Amino acid sequence: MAMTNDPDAMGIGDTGYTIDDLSAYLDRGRTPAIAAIDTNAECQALLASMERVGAFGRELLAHDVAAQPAVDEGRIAALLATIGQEVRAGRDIPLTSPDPRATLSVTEGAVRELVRAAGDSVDGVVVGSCSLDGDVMAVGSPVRVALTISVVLNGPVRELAETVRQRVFTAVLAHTELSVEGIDVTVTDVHQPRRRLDEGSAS
Amino acid sequence: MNLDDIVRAVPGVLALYSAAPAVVTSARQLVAGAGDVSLVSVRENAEGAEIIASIGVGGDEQAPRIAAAVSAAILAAVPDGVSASVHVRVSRVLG
Repeated sequence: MAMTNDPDAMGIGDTGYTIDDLSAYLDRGRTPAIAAIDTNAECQALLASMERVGAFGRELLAHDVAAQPAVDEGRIAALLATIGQEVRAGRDIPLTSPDPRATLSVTEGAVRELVRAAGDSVDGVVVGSCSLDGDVMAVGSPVRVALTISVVLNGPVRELAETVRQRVFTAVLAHTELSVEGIDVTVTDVHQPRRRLDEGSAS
Repeated sequence: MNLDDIVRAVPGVLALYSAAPAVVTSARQLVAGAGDVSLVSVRENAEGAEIIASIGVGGDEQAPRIAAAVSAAILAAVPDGVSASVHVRVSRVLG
């Protein structure tokens, strides 16, 4: 086997396992257990995101949603590819250590997953992408969090976005020492329940 | 008690991940068996032992506090007279 430094070729978390491999692993109930996946934080983060995306897809079905635009396999694959990039550990964001012998940090990937999970936790929302903008390595330096979301229109879009913003802020505040100056939420897709569409066309 | 067990025993730690590069962990697992490979990395250098732990913490906790608790637990386990530094990396925050 040829050795390479290409991150995509090295798989998620450098395990050699691809997104498709992890998807298949999830489909078969994570059995038989693969230690290289089960002990790798990036693989576990991607598996958790896959489960949340799957739950969102089931929610679309349950709401009999007319997807606007359609949620096809290509869009799901693109979303998973984005998540695959975001779960990479990236830089170690420093945390204050009370002991000079100890270095404490939270990975960039962990923070991005935290942001994504906080957004996904809002009913009818799935996060498309998220990023940390600013010098995350400099303690006290202002950082902005930016994320895009898709929503099932259960309520006013503004309220959904505000709920996402609040949850992300609470999560980042609890688990990092970043100086968050702003959280920018952009709604990129709106999926309207078919019932409302029907009501709209009947009037 | 080994370092993996010490880290896992810290309240708020929900997962322990391999601190070594995946290829190294995989090679060790092939040789020793998946259950016999330590996930906390310990390396010797000129200044003593360098210990690295990669953890997942609970979402209802505070990652900085749990990371500090883990580092304290590890350092408490280092024998007297042994110089050691610890890096605790929070790699995931779990629901």
